[in-house]
Amino acid sequence: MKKVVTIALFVFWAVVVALLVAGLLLYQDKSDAGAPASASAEPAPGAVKPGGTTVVLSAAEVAKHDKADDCWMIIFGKVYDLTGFLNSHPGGRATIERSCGKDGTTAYQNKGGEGSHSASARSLLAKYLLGTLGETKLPSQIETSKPPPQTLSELPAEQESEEEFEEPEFEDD
Amino acid sequence: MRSIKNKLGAPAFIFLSIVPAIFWTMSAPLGFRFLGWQMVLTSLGQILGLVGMAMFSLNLVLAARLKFLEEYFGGLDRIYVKHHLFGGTALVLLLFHPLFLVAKLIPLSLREAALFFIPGRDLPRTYGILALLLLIALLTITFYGNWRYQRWKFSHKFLGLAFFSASLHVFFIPSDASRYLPLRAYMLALITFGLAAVIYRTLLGWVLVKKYPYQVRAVRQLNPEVVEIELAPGNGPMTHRSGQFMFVSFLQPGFSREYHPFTISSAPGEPALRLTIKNSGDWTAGLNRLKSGARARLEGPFGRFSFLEAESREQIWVAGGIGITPFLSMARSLSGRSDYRIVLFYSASTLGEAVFLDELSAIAESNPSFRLVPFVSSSQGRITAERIDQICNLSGKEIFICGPLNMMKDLKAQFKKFNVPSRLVHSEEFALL
Repeated sequence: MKKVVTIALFVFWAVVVALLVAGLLLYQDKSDAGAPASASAEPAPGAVKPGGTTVVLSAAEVAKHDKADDCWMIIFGKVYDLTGFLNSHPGGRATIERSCGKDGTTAYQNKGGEGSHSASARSLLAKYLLGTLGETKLPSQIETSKPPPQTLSELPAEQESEEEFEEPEFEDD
Repeated sequence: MRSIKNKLGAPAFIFLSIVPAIFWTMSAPLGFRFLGWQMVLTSLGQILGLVGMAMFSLNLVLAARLKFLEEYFGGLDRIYVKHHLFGGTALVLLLFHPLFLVAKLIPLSLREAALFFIPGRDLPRTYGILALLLLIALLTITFYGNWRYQRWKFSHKFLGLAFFSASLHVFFIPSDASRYLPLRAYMLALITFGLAAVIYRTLLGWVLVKKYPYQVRAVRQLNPEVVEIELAPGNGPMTHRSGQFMFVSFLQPGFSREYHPFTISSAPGEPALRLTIKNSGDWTAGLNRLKSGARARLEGPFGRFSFLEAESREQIWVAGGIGITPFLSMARSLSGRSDYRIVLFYSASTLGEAVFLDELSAIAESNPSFRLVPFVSSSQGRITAERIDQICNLSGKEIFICGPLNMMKDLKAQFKKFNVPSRLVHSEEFALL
């Protein structure tokens, strides 16, 4: 018994101390690598193409992304791509899936009666931000936390991105 | 049938601890709960929290010294052994509960994962963090600290506070326990029992727990290490069976007043209650300062270590050092009865260490069904099952052992090699008291 307790305590403290050091002292934020933390309209260098198509983050546009493997949502007037977050949601996938493609503000606000989301939830949500509702975006700016690309056509190649963007991804809506 | 009843306690405890996990599986579709590594870890984290908390609650009930529970565990000493085991288990489960829940945050944001452990961001989580920290601190003291009995015991009471904070966490954090009514009701019931046990022993103990008032009649130093205290009852004497133990507190200025457990060495029915105590620390070393007339309070009696509860009347009693105490009570209660055939092996490192040898020899002289075999381990070597077998055949005998932990452990293993069924071997587990 004592041996098991000793090992468990050791593991616990090792993990907690490691997380506190890495998360607070070193202030590393791995998820920043995948999502645009700033919602500014500044284009990523080299990705702007003269005459490239833009996307308006309208309710109609959001409605096109209403599947579990392509889930956008409007919350408090901002548009988020929650596809990569579904599995990590403490409240489960279903609670988010219900509002894919729609405005999920109410559900987010009160968790169906459970109360509001915590501060840490709010900071997590920010990482999935695409932009404000009604904002116009360049396709290259809508690079978010989708699951890793399955086909080459989904990779943001410099020249071809806008053309690819119009393609199969939106076809099977 | 008797021997089955006292084995029911531990399995029942384990089952009651697992029930929340069963409710958990019923509260949402299982396939969905284990979809992807994040969900698997989250689900495991939830289960660990529920089962750990259930165990914590039930463990508090075990420590309440409820006499009716003794039948299901085979004595309060065995209850304490299980309390120690289940306490450690609950700690391990509760340590991994937050670790498994935080796992899915790590690839998303190390900062969020770190903040998961910082109290203050939301109340229910804060209660959980504080409860766990207090639990860790108090159990670290219990498992690794070498604190004096009274200091350790005082610290251990604060587990009630950790439990209270944990209950707030369980009830206010959004979870299966808050969403699924059967699970919520079950956790509420267990937690209520746990809190009731804590309040019974601590806050309301002074009025609810029965204490017998006694008075010190005499204090005798039997040898440099052992003192005998004779106590006379106040209004109502505490009746006991031979082999039982009790908790005693002495109210004499300069003496700390906490309760300590000792075997009762006098036989039932004797006018005075006697305790034969070996020096094992500051408090016991100071017992010879007790004055005749000093007031004492007794709680008990407890324990199911008794030759009367045996299947067989052909018995072997093995005493090591101060482990002679329950057998003193038992031998003294034999007075003339011949329906049992008993051989008592009394092992001490030196002859001087053995107490009441004269009295025991006298009992052996006058009662043909009681035989005394003294063993001096410094000259004859350790007492072993083989030597016992040589002197009085082991087969068909029921064995009672009381002595140092290692001696009991070794003997039990040796008896097993001699094919003595384990249900016929009884030991008094006083180390944890």
